[in-house]
This record gives sequence, C-alpha cells and structure tokens, in this order.
Amino acid sequence: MRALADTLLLVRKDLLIEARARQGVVLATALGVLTVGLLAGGLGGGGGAPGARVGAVVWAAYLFGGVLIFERTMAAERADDAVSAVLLSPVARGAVYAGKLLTNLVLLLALAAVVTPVGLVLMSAGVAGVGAAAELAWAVVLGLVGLAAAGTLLSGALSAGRLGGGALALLVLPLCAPLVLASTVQVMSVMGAGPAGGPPAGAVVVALDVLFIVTGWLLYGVVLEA
Amino acid sequence: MTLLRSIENFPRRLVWGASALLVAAAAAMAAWYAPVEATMGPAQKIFYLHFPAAIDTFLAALVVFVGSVGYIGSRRREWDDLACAAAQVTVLYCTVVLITGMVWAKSAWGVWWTWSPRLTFSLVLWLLYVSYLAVRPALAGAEGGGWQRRAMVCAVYGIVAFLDVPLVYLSVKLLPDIHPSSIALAPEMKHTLAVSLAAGTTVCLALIAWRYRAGRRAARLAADVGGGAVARPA
Repeated sequence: MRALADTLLLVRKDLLIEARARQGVVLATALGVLTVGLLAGGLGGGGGAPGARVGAVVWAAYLFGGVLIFERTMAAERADDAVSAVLLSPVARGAVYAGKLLTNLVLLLALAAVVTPVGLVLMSAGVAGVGAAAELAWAVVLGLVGLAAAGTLLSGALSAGRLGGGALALLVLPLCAPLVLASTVQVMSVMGAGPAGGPPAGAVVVALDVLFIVTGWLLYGVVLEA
Repeated sequence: MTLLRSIENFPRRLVWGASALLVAAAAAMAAWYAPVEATMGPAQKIFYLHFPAAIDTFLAALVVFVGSVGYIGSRRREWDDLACAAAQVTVLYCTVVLITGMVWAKSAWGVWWTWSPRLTFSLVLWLLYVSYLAVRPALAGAEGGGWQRRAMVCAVYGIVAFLDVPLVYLSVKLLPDIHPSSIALAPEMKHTLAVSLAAGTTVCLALIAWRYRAGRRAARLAADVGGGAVARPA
C-alpha cells in the first residue's frame, strides 16, 4: 500500500507540473496531429482499405509525440536536480519507475484521445458501433502501455547525459518496432482488415508490455543512480 | 575477468588460420561438393552463407547481452567493450543475412524485398543494433557524459534489445509468410552446411575477440592521454 501511495504521489507531482507548464502534452499533440495530417494527405490517393492504413498512421503520431513526452517529463525531473531529491526520499525505486510510467501513460492517452479520432476522420475509416470503438480503444491502450514502459526506461537512462530527443528516438523507435507491428495488426483486425492466421496480435502486445515493464522495473533505479 | 583477459589475448594466428581454412573448405564444398538444387539452381548455394550468418547473428547478439549484463553487474569497462565489439559483429552478420536474403528473394520470388516475416525480422534486428552503434558516439560526447554514462545506456539498451528479439519474431509472424519453413537437404548439402556453420562461427568469434582487443587498446590509450602518460599533440 505504501508503494502505491508513493507512486500516486509522484504521478500527482508530475501531472501538476505538466498542468501548470502545459508544454509536453500540447507540443506532442500538435506534433501528432501534424504527423497524422501529413501522412493521411500523402496516402490520400493511395489504394487499399483505409482500415488497413489507419493503424500505421496513428502509430507514427504516437511514436513521435511519445518521444517528445518522454523527453519533457524527464527534463522536468532533471531541472534543478529534482531527481536527486526523489532518490534521497524513502521511496522504492520501483515506485519511482511506476510513477513516471503512469505519468507518461496518462499523457500518451491524452495525445491518443486527440490523434486517433483525427486519424480516423482524415483516413475516412469508420468504426462499426460502440463495441468496435471499445475494442479499438483497448488495442490503443495496450500498445501505449508498452510504448510508455520502454520510453520511460530509456528516457531515464539518457536524461543524465543531457542529450536531446534525437538519441531517444533512435533507441525507442527500433525497440518498439514489434509493438507497432503487433498493435497495428490488432487495430487492423478491429477495423475488419486484419490478416488471417498467425498468433493473436493482442497476446504479442501484452507480452511486449510485460517485457518492457519488468525490465524497466528492474533497471530504472540503476540508470537513475548511475 | 579471466574470461575477458583470455578473449583479449586470444591466440590470433591459430584462430585466424583455422578460420581461413574453414572458410576455404566451406567455399570449395559449396562450389564443387554440394549438388545444384533442382528448383532454384546455382542461386540456392547462397544458402550456405545466408543460414550460418543468421545463426551467428544471434550468437553475436547473445554476446552483446552477456556483456551488457556483465557491465550492469560489475560496472567494469571491459564488459562494455565486449558488448560494443559484439554489436559491431552483429550488425555485420545481420547485413550479410539481409543482402543474401534479398539476393535469394530476387532469385526465388522475382523481387528484391517482400514483407515476409523473416525478412522483416532481420530488418528489425539490424535496426536494433545499428541504433546501438549509432547512439554510442553521441553518448560519449554528451555534456555530463563520459564512458560510464555511455556504457550504462548501452547496457540497458543491449539487455532490452536482446530480450525483445523473440517478441520481434512473434510479431512478424503476424504477417503473411512466403518464406520456406524448411528445405529438404541432400547429405552432401548437410555436410557443406555444417562446415559453413563452423566457418561462420569461428570467424564470428574471432571478429568479436579482435574488435574487443582493439576497443581495449583504444580505452587504454585514451586513459593514458587523459592521465598525461602520453604527450598530447600540439
């Protein structure tokens, strides 16, 4: 219970900072909408079912916006060496990771809440009913958990070196390639355009989520203290 | 540390000599001993390079993982140098896999590239380790960086990237496949493949040891220059 309370306290702190500064999520959402707009415009005349392409287009927006969010949330932590205060406090390293992961996930969900409908509208991809919409939302949430877990760990590792987002993007994007693949297939299946056969895409996404969360949980304290 | 010291002081002439002999034997067997495959013709012989390179890519990636775990556990630079050496060899072997796979695809399917699961898997694997190598120089030069920061970031990435590999394989299985799942091999083909695999593995290990040794020498030189033991150029 103590770890949960600590985690929620850290999430509250991060979200308050974000609510006051309004930098990370606004920038990321603007970048996401821009990415979707450009890709939807570029693909507008192409062939194929819109349902088959919308997953890839919104995932490009999640990735670029996500990298910006990870960079901003860790930059806030490193400003005035705030992270040292967090590490000195009697909070388990796992709770620090969980707090940062939840903050990033909330901001990613805010980004997705804007970017996904924009992508669906611009790609003329309809969702058949409330059930399909709920399935689509679930598929997006599952994918974003993995992205947040990998991004939180790597942004923590990179932030101490005060590097820009370029290096973070270079590491997060290939690492999340299987997540993007599986989640895109899952979104395609919801839109009725998924390939037949193969392992269930949702199970692969969950396996990746678990991998990134467990490695992040184990290594986050080590990278922050390095 | 005994293991790392023995890698650095590996018997170079013996290992490179054995590698050269095995490579020559594998090439000769592929050219004259192994029969020409009925469907694909002589182009099938690229398999004797493609398959061992694919297996040895995993071997080199495993060494990156071991080096990364070793660094996290001990914080000794030697482990980071080993992981870096193995990452270079991983990228080299994965490049061979990709190029030979593309040649095979052109011969078998008439296109240089198709999004089949195994080709996609090789591409993602290549991207994972190219990123590892691409980000290293930026990390070393960053403000507040230095080799410790670079080694930590690379160790974390090396561990997650290796654990990611089986899931990359699972995720690409979601794509429709036209790649052959198994190929019936004549006994001569199996013998040739075994010798090719031995040659590829020997060269892979020799390359890792060679790059590790070069990395250690560069690190010592940098330490000497930093400590003033070697005069800085004017």
